Order: sequence, then structure tokens, then C-alpha cells
Amino acid sequence: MARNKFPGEFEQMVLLAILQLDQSAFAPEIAGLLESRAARRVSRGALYATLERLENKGWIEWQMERPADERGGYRKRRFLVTPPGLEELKSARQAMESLASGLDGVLGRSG
Amino acid sequence: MSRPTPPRLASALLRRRVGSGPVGQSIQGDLWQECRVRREASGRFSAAGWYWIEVLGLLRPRAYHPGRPSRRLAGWGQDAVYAIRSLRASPGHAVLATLLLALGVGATTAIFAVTNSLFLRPPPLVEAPADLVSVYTSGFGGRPYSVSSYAEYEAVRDRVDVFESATTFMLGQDLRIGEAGAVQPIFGAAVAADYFRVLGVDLALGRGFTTDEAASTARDDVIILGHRTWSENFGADPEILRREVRVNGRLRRVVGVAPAGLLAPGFPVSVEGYIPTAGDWLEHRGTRSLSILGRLAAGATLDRAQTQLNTLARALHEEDPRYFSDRNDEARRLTAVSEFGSRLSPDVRGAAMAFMTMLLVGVGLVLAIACSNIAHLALVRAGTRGGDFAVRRALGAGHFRLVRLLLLENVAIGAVGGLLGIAAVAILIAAVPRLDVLPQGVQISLSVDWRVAGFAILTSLCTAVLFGLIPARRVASLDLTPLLRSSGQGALGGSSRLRGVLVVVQVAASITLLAVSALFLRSLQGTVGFDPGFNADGVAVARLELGQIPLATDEGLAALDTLTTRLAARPDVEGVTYATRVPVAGGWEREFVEIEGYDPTSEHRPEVSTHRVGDEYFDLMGIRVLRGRGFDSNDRAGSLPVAVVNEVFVEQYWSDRDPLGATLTLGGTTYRVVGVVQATKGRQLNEEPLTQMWMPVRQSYRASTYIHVRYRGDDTPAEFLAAVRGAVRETMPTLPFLDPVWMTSMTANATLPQRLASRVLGAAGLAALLLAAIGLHAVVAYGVSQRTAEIGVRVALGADQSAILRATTQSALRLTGVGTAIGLPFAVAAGQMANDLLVGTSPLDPLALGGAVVVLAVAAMAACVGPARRAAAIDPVTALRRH
Repeated sequence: MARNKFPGEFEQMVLLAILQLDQSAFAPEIAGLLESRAARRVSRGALYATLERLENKGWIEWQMERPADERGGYRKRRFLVTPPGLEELKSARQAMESLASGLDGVLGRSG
Repeated sequence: MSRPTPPRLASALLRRRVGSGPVGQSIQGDLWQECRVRREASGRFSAAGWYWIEVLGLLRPRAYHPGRPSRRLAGWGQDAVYAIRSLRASPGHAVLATLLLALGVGATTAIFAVTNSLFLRPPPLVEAPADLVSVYTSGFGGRPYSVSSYAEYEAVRDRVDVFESATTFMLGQDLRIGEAGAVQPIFGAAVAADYFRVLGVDLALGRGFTTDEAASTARDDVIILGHRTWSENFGADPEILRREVRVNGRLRRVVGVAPAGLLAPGFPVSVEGYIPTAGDWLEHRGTRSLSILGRLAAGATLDRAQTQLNTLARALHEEDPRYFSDRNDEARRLTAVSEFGSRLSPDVRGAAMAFMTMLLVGVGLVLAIACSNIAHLALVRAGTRGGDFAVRRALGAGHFRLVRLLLLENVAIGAVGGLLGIAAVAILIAAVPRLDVLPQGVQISLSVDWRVAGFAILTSLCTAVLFGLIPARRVASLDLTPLLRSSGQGALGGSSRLRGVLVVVQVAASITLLAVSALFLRSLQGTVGFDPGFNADGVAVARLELGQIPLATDEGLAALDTLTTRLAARPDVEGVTYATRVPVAGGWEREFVEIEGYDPTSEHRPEVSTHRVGDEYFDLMGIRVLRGRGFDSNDRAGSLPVAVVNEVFVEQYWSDRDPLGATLTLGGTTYRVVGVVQATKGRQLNEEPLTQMWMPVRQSYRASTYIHVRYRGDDTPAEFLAAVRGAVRETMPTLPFLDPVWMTSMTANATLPQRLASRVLGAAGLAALLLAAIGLHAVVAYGVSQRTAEIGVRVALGADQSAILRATTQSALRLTGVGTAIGLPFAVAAGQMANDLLVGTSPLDPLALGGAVVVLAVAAMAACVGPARRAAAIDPVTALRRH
């Protein structure tokens, strides 16, 4: 169980994307952002599976928006990162940074 | 503007997957929206492709499990894994069921492969086969699909314009290729100039025959080789077109090589040598022995072709009423038949279909037996799995889940069984050339194509699923409590009545097959010991084409005399004579005969099978002369023309008068009958006796004749054939002639259908016997396992071994008895159907039927022995403790 608590790389990327998108964090937009920024193809199967997993862990939640014609009349879920989710992201990032500290010579400094 | 919606099927799949809850709806909406965006950016197809890929990705069992699960597809995968595991847990059942199925499916598929190559597969390489039309001239007796003459071919070619082109050919030319001593028979065809063009086939090398080559009455000297002969006999020599090869003793220039895989029109054999329809065919334009094939011109239909042929037939009748009329003096008919999808001429097709149907029914029975065994195995297995199912049911598995599990198990068995069946057929087909069932030089083209493979897999899956699911019916009405309370044994095993019915069906099918194969074996035995009216043993024959030297009549006769003297001088030669035909070896000659005292206008014009023979022919062939005499050296050119007829002839035409001294007229010569001989077989061994007549070759010369040399001895040494060849060479060094063969090898083809049928049905009968024995064994063994406790009690109460043996085998033997009683009438009926193929054997042959019953009874006994002995050896203490 403890193993599941630690956010995986893709989970972190999804969480970050939701934060970036803020008010327009819908699944297609999340996928679009991941595809453009992370330069990797995102299978929708993997994305929805990850979103569901994050929701089960209590790191994200969603709100239903009203249906739109351009979507065949289907409703729309907007995702939000919950406070525990934000905490996880922070601690994961701290762990990363502390592990990476002093390795600038090897890793180089990005952005 | 097309629909702006995503692909419908993919949407439906997605809906099934994610459900219609809020989450499911939002996912569907997301993909809809994205699909729309992509459509505008990069087009409809790209968007649809993307949508499909994403939906399929979502369908993967591990990809996504939404809150309200729709687990149907995941469940399939899980059950498939479980099914394979459970099959592996009882490998005995899995292996046995699979092998049974493979056996049944293999046998059925083998026959289907033959049917496929004869009737279903379109002719390979031929361009637009739908446009090919065969033209048949009706026969003398009114048969609609008979052969045509060269004159009729010319009329069709030149006077019918629905055909863009037309050609003619005759299959089955006896060609022997190679130098003397290393001569090899090949299947040959005589073809007209346009043959390859009409078929739309490009030659591998060289060209087809030119009009000059194919239509000159001069001696033709060209040949087109089949691809296999070119590769195997000439090492695929690319310079073959510069070479000459010796065919039937004569050199012919090779002008072309046919492409690999080309088969003869209407029959799945590969033609290995094509010679032009020159020489004889043109000299005898009226002789009917050819097939006509036309290619419809663009836009022409079969109906129009038939209309034009009707007009042509009327014209031909008006031009020469005597030639173009049948037995009843009515005009012959020309019939157009589309060759698409057919590999046999229509009248042969009927007989071949009947034969194949019989074989299919035979192997179908094997499959039925295999199926009933599978059903039985499934019942037994279900019996031991009652507990398993009860637990699953109790844990909430629905009826559907349990049936699905059984289904998946049987699909696995069916798939493997089908693949094994296909493998078996492929091996069998590879072995066909070595089975020695076809005449030398003939190769039937068989192969496992998609139709055959599909047939096997489909048959296999259907049977496995249908019969494997028989226990599934019981799963529905499962009563959990007793099953859970007991060890789970028995409750699903099905009533013993159902199992009994299966065994009875098996036994009945087995006895039918066994009896029919026994009939064929008897028939084969019959043909060996069957008296055709002549004795072919120890006679060497060789065909002499004296017309090709060429020799005039008197020169030819002188050469035959010299050859006779030379051979007769050898101590190992008992006699020498000649005949224009070898009986039952294929080919016969029939002629109109004017019969003294017989009114030809009544009923029908007499047509008689005719032979020109040498001196002492009847003595040498062992044909009994019933009255008068045979021919001798006094019956020569100048003396009174004489003839001999057979008893069938006398019975038919001269039953009221003395045949000796009566006259027969044919070809302008009147012959006086000097002898009557016994009836002999002429064309086939199972024919009705023919009316036949013989004339001395000295008085009615034919340039083509077979020399007959009877060997003094019981063996058939190859040296003797070489000696005959040497004598012919010495006498007529320039004569093209066929290597001498023993007459028995020529007459062997007459028994080909019997040999084929008896082999196939014999194998099917053996398979059936094996399967029936397995089935009986399984029934007895199951009975014993179910009755262990009861038997234990009996033993404990002092029952002796023989009583136990009796108790366990009794029911199996009773089932065998019932099955036999039901199967025997079917066996007799099947024998009646096959009557045409049986020689000298009645469908009621007591030895065949009795033999089948005995063999089956023995097999039943043998199947019971093992389980019965196990029952007798049951230790009462162990048995009672366990239950």
C-alpha cells in the first residue's frame, strides 16, 4: 500500500498538468499539454486509468460541467488537485531535489 | 457533408466499456470532442483512425477500470486463462478429446480436399475462367455431353461468332518420353493451335503451336513440355527449345514449356506433354474423340452461345444427316456448358459426385463417432466437476459464466483439434504420390488451400463446441445442496441413458463403416479372382504403330509375320498374336454393323465393339470358343472374310437362328461368322456384357496394333520385356513403339475405383473401430468408477470375480448389441448405394457383414477387459472407506 502512495512519474506529470491548466483542466486539454510539453504520446486509456487512480488516492477530484453540443451532448469533467495531492507533489519534488543536490555537474541545470 | 460523429462501431464499443454513468459520459464526450478537433485539422480518416486506436487502447483489460465496472470483456480473458489451466489440470481428457477430434476432422477434411480440387477450386492460372465455355456434341445414344470430332470443332471455331476464340484438345494421350530403356510415361494431351491462347495462359518458355503445326496432315514433330517434366527430366534446361526429345520412339522438337501449376481443363491433373492435333486427327475429321473449349467474346452470354450452337447443329444436320444424327435418326445437339468452377465434364461429374458423396458420408460417420466420444468425455468430466461448479455457483457465478467456461475449454480443444487435422491432411496429401493408387504418369493436384483449412477449422470448432456443451444444459438446473454436501461426484454426469444413446450411435456408425469397407475388400478380392473371360497373366503387350514407318498393308503384315517367327522361336515364348485393343485397359472401338436377318430400322441401329486380331488370338488369351473355330493362318487377305462373335451378340441378334454361317457387313466387306466365343469384359470389369466381334487382322488391316506375347512361366521377369523390345527393334528398326508392359499392369487401372474406395473406406473403418472401442472403454470405465462403492459392497458380501466381471461388462455388451442391430440395415443400404463399384460381391455378402460384426464384438470385449478387471480387483475396505 505504501508503495502506491508515492506518486509515479506519469502521475506527477498529470498532477502538474492539472495545476498548469487550472480552470480548463479537462482530459483532452491535459492530454494535449502532456503531448506538447513532455513530447510523449499519451494513450487515452493510460490517461483515464491514471486519473482514476489519482482520484482513488484522494489526490484529485472533479466537478461536472454542463454538456456541450461540440461533444455530442456529453458532460465534461474538470479536474482539481486536492490539498493532499498538492502535499504529495511537494514532498515528491523535495525528495527529488535533495537526491539531485550537488549533482549539477553530472545532470546539468535545466530551466 | 458527412456525419460529424466518430465511427459508430467504435463508439458503441466505447459505450459498452465505460458505461453511461457520469464518468463514462464524460469520457465519451472527451473523445468525441477530440475526434472533432482532429477531423477539422487533419481530415476524416485520420480522425477516425485516431478514435479507433484510442478506443481499442481503452478496451485493453488492464487499461481502465471505471468506478462502475463493465467487466464482461475482462471476464472473457480471465475465463480463457482458467479454461486453459483447467484443461492442463486434466491433460488426459484434453489430449484424448483433441486427438479424437483431429482424427474425425482430418478424415473429413481429406475427402473435402479431394472434393475441393475436383469441384470447387477455380482452375489455376486460367484467365477469366467465367468466360470459358465447353461445347459438347450429344452422343449416339443421346447422351448430351459427349465428345466431338475435328470437323465439329472447325464448325464451332469458324461458324459461331459468340466465341472470341475456340480450341480443341484430347486428354490422356499415352506419351512415353526418353530413349529406349529409360522411357517414362507422362500424361499427354493433343491440343489445337489456340489452346493456350483460349485459356489465357502464358507459356513459361517458347510458344504454343502455330496453325501450321496443329493443322497439317503431314507428320507432326513438335511437342510442348509440362513444367514438371521440363524441371525433372531436363533439369529445367533453358536451352530446351533447341533440343529434340524422343517421344514414343520418335524425335520431336520442343517448342515450348507450359507454366508451373497449369492443370488440364476439367480435370485436376497436370498435362506433361502437349502434341498438336495434326496428322491422324485431320485425316479422320469425323472421328469423335475431342473436347471443344471456347472463350466468349466481350459482352457475349452463355445463352447466346447456346442459341448459335442450336442453329449450327441444325445446319450440320442438314448438310450431312447421316453423320450428324443419333441412334434414333434425330439431329445431334451441341451444348454449351460454363466451365467456371467445374473441373469435370458434366456426366463424369455425376458419377464422381456420387462416389465422393459416399466417401464423405463414410468419413462423416467417423466424425460423428468422434463427436459422440467428445460429448461422452465432456459428460464424464462434468460429472467429476460438479463440486467445482457448485462452489462457483454458490460464490455468485451466473449460469452464463459457467457455460462460458465450458465453451472456452471446448473452443481450445476445437482449435487445436482442427490444426492437428489440417496437419494430418497436409501429410496425407504429401503421401498421395507414394500410395500407388493412380496410374503411372498421372498426378492429381491436391492442396490445402483456404477452403480446406477453413473447412477443417470450422468443422472442428463447431463439433467441439456443440458436443462439448451438452453438459452445459445441466448446469442451468443445478441443485447446489447435495453437490456441496457430497464430494461433488456424479450429479452432472448426465443420465446413463444419454451416455447409452451415444454408445449405441457409435456402434451403429462403426458397424456401417466396417461392413462397407469389408464389402469393398471382398470386392477387391473378387476382382482378383474374378473371371473377366480372358487370362491376362503372363502376357507382354507392346503397341506397334506400323503407320508411322510407314508400311503399306502387305508390308505391315509381312513385318508382323517376321516378328512372330522371331519371337516364337524363343524357348520362353508360349505364343504370339496381335489385337487392336487390350480389354479393360481403356479405349475401345465401336462400329455400325449390318446384321443378316436383323432389321436395322427397328428400335436402334446395331453398334458392335470390334477387334482386329492375329492368329490363335482366342487360344493365347484363354477365351473359350463355344462353337465353331477361332482364326488361323488360313484366314488371309485373299480368302473368304470371316468373323467371330460372342455369345452376347448371338443372344441379342440371332437368338432364333444358327449363328455359324450367318453374315455381317461393315465397311463394305461382308464377313461370314465361323465361331462363337464366351462373353468377355470389354471396357470395365463391372459392365453389362457387350456385343463384340473379332476379325482377322490379315483381312481387316489396322496399322495400329498391340503385339501379345505369352511368357512360358509363372513369374514376370523384366528381362522378358527387354527381349520383346529387342525383337521388335531388330525386325523394324525405325518403328516408333511403346515399351512392352505386362498386360496385367494395363488392366490394373480398371480396378482403380475399387482400390481407391477400399483403401479410403478401409482406413475409415479402422478409425471407426478404434473410436468405438475408445467409446465403449470410456463407458465401462466410467461405470466402474461410479460404482466403486457398490462393487466394494458386493465383494464384501462374497460376490466372486466372474459375477463382478459380468456385472460390469453386461451393459456395454448390451449397448453393442443394440448398436449392431441398428447399424446393420444401414450397412446394407450403404452397400446398395455402392453397388456400381462392387464387382462379384453382393451388398448382402454374408462374409463381409458377419466379419464386421465379429470384429466389432471382439473390439467391444477388448474395450471392456481393462475396466472390468479393475472392478474385480477392487478392495472392499478401501472402496467403502473412501465413500
